[in-house]
Amino acid sequence: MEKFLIFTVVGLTLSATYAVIASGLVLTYATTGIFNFSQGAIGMVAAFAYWQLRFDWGWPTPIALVVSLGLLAPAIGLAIDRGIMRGLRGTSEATRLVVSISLMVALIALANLVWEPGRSRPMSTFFEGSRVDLGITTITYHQAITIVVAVLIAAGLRFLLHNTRIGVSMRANVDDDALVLLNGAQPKRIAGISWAVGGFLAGVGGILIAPTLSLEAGSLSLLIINAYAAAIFGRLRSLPLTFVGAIVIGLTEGYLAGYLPGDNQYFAAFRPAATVVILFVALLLVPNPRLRSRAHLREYFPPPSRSGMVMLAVVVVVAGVVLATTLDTVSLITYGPVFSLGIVALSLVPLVGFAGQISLAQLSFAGIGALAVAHHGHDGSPLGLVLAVVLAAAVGTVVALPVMRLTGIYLALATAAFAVALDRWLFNLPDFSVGPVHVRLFGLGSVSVDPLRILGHEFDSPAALLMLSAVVFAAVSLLVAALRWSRFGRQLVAMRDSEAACATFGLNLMWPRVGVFALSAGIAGLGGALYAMQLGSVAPARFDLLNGLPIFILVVVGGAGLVGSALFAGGILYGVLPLTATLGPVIAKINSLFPGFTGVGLGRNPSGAVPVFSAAAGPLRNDPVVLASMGVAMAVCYVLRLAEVFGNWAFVVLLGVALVAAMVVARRRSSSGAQGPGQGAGAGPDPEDLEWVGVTEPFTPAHLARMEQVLDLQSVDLEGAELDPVGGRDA
Amino acid sequence: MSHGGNDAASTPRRLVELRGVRAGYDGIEVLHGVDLTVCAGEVVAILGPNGAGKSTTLKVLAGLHPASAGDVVIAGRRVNGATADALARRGLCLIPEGRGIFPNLTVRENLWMMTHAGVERPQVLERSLHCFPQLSDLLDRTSGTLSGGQQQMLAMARGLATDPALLVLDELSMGLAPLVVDSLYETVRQVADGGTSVLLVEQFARIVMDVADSAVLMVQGHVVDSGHPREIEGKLTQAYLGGQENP
Ligand SMILES: Nc1ncnc2c1ncn2[C@@H]1O[C@H](COP(=O)(O)OP(=O)(O)OP(=O)(O)O)[C@@H](O)[C@H]1O
Ligand SMILES: [Mg+2]
Repeated sequence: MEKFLIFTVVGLTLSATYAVIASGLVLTYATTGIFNFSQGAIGMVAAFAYWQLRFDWGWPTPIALVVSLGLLAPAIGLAIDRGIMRGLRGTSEATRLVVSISLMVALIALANLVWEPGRSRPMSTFFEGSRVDLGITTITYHQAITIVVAVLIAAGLRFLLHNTRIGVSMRANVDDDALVLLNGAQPKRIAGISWAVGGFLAGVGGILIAPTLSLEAGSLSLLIINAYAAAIFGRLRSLPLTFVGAIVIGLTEGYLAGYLPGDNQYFAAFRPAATVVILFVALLLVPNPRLRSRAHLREYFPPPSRSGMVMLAVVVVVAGVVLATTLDTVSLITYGPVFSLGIVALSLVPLVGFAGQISLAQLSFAGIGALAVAHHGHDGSPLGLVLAVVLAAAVGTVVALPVMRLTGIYLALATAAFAVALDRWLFNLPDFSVGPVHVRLFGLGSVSVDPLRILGHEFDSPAALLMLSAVVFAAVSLLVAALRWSRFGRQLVAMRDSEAACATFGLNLMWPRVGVFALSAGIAGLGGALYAMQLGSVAPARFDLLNGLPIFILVVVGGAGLVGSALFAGGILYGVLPLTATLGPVIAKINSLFPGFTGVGLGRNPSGAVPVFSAAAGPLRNDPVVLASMGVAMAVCYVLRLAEVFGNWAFVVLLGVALVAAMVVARRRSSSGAQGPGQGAGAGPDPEDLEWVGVTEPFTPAHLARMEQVLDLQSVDLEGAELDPVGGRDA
Repeated sequence: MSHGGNDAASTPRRLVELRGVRAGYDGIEVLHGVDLTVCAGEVVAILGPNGAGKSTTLKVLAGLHPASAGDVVIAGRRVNGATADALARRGLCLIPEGRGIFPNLTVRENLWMMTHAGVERPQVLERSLHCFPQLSDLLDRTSGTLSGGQQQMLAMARGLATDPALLVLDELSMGLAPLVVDSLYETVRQVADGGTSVLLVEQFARIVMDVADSAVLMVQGHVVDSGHPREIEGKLTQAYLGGQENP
């Protein structure tokens, strides 16, 4: 009984913290429509700041609290609103999510920069050592304070949102901010207050929980997954239900800590993952969301052009050859993931870009691919790669089936929960059997992977593996482009644009979604397998959620609907950033901030960065003379480099100079000859392409027939209603 | 239909004047120089086909959308660039197209929002319920669950409760039964008789025949005609059938 009470108190204290953080999450969501993934990271920063003031500099507790909670946390909230969220009006939910995920990544990187990780930073709890006697049991002051604070915040928020005009205005704001203006109130000010209060609540949660855990940026920020689970109970809207959720989750954790047998490996590993499982289940219970009929959005992705795709594939293969022949072994290992993890980035293009779905678990699927090739690719058997795709796709299907009716935030959370469940639990289990199926995992450490062998040729050197990944990357790019050109691809884009419209056309929404999810998991598995071969031996930490987020962010920053964005993501994360990092430790530190901060900048240009580059390169692409000269110049540089006339740095610089010079010359030539005939002939849209009908050529009934066929609409019979939409009048 | 209230001898005071107003979306101009005057105490209707730019005109007037050229003058002051909330607090009340309510708030909370314009909460409640007694049983309902007519009454309540100098209504009749529309416009008439100027937008002249003192016809971003609603009605039919040749 005594033990039960103790762990009840432990559980309730956790509940209280989660409730505080989750209520901040619900507040910003209900009042601004933005799901703030960085809520936990704000709390983390506040906790670090509090540690700095109170324990490192020894300030008195009240002053440290006022500064970190009263000033810093709301200021961060306000700054996020002013600097970032205001630019997000009219963007899709996916873009907003990416921005807040990026913000989390940025805050973690920033905290790691300011407070070097790995150092021990002890924090004592409030009134450490003092206890309150409740008769049946005693609880610590810190526990009592935590619970009382949560109750006060619950009451205070309820009062704010329903009994004050500013609170009602906050809720009104998310409905219709133009109407708020017409009522004479100021939506910007109202949103600012919401964010400040949200930041404050994050800070309270962070400072209450940090002393009972360790002060570590990543894990404190992710702890928030537990708070998210609570918020999901309240459907991100209801504060009372959020508190109920927090109590369920906190108590579960408390009792698991008290009663789960600690000597059983399977159970012990389960404890940290329990909440994630609760989150996953809670998400499954979310009622079917309404079908989205999309409003006016700022993102637009044109379908890839055939010539552009061929060029991309050629560039990738040539780059692979050049890298493989010029880099030394160490560099080959450093830059190896450009293409292998680039394939993981590529897996996001059909999913996020075409279908508008979100998955934060792609690197986990890559981990499954790595496992497949480790256990089934002995002596380079190609079966390993095949199974990597098949197993990852199969697991993808299994995950997709229950969660596919979810969209946006819910889907992002469900996939994040899946990723965390793998990180914290499954990947750390010893091998086990379920009936006849024997599941082999990382064996509580790392597993070794053999390089591929096809027809007697073994890809056993880093150079060979890099070339192999480049070729596979090029092939998968073409596959993804072909998908976009296919009927299936058009269905995905149509669904992204308006689910409601697709449903009224009679399209089945479920199977395209599951299909694209499985396909993208399979592609990720392939990338993971190649990555594992490059590493030779892999441990689960390579595939955890936080490592996967930068890939996701950069694909979206590149422009998720564009195949080139995967090359952009792989090239920047595993090429440019490591390369510049060799210039000095300061640049390496700045680099660590890069993914988060660029993602945050997405609000400025939601269609991504790749269109900007390709617009800049447009004249070059259409100018065969300059293009050929550039190719020759680069080839000469390459030959000179192979002849050891100069080293890699000079080579990189020369290539850069050649590219920039070619772009400048091409631009000159195109602007001087702008009036000439035949200009830009290659740049026009494919006349075959249905998506340009109405823009490039008049719309005819024949197009209608083809469109019906492409969208699989033959079955719709409108009983000879007058369907001739155009031209009928003239006839 | 002559409307008393203001002395015909004194020159009517111009409450609203739009002079050569141009505006557009994403660089495409939809208002090509709109001229429009509403005098104090007057009820003016803007009529015109879909896409003529009626709603855009109202948005520019209310400060929700910027004018790219021309003057927006209210009560003698040029207010280009003033924000919508500032104008709202100074007595301009726009009830937008569709339902101008917050669907996730209760009726009571919707009424509370109206106090931002500067009227105290008890007054708002009293005036709204006086005009629309139907709402008093619905105060704690989430307003998104009300019927279309009830929602429009709630939206209209702002025009009554905040006692604006200028009431601007965008297609009050949209999607409502004729009887409901009649009763809403009767309320508008009462508001106008109380001295408030009204600028309203409708697709059809007949609806506003008994309410409006004058009407203007808008086609493709221009005001092409003005006069009594009855005169405009005939031209409106033309505008619908062959608006192209006109501007
Ligand atoms: N948010 C917007 N973005 C882009 N274009 C718009 C937007 N709102 C209106 N337009 C365009 O501006 C033009 C005028 O629209 P407006 O809504 O003012 O017309 P209206 O006269 O009110 O029509 P209706 O009677 O259908 O309400 C239309 O061609 C419309 O397509
Ligand atoms: Mg309109």
